[in-house]
Amino acid sequence: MPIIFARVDDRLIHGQIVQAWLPELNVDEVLIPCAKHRAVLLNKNLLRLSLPYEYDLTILDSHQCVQYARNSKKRIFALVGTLQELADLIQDGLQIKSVNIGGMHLKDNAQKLAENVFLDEDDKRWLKVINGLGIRVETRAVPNAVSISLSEVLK
Amino acid sequence: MVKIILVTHGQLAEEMLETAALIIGKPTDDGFATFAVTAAAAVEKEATKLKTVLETCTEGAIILTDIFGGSATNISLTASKDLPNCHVITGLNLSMLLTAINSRKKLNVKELAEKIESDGKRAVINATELLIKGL
Repeated sequence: MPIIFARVDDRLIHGQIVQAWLPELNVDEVLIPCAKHRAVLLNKNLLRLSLPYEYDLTILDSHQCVQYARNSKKRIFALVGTLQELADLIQDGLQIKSVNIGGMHLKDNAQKLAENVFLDEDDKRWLKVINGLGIRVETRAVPNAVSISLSEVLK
Repeated sequence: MVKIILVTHGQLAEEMLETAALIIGKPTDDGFATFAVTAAAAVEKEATKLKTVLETCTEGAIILTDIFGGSATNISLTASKDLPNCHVITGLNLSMLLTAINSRKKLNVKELAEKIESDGKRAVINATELLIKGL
């Protein structure tokens, strides 16, 4: 089953996801890919509690996700914490045409590109990799907000 | 479409709507109104003002107020007394407002009132205990 929607959001499951995106998207499952070194940062119980019970939640090592999605019969919302993890997925063969950059919050030495998108040099490099693979990159916090293309910003 | 009216003490109503917009984006239509009840407000006068708004809501209105027994609720009940399509629901929290915004296009006024009430109640959770107990 194809990935219905892919979003990068360092807050993972939160109000915008539960209240704005999920009601708009017809999906069965939220898939959170997690790189090995970041797994310790995830509070899996809290993520499960935050997601309404009618949606399945799967948290997998980044490199297992492509295989998982390929074999799954569910309609998947891929929710990724970092651009690097997303780049890993795409390089592993994940099929997506576009990605929504939802929230990448304030950090040191980061440039503000939108209300809730701050990118440092590493992020920009990953974004260029992703964009270079032919994937459209847009930012928008919620479905009814204006979609801004980040492909332009990166040039 | 059902109109959503927030009636609260002070600026809570307006701030609540602003905060909801932060989470799910600004509603693009004029299906919302807010009413601030100040210390100086006269109940009868405010109720008359609110009633004028309610009478324009042909498909019904849901009035969300802060506390049962407070002036905001009393004003709302006075204003909606003879209007069968208006429901006053007390105990406004952000979950109730988000439900109202998300569901108002899909439900009629009665169904919407029921959903807002139940979602509002479900939103009150001792999250620490729940997390310890697990699912």
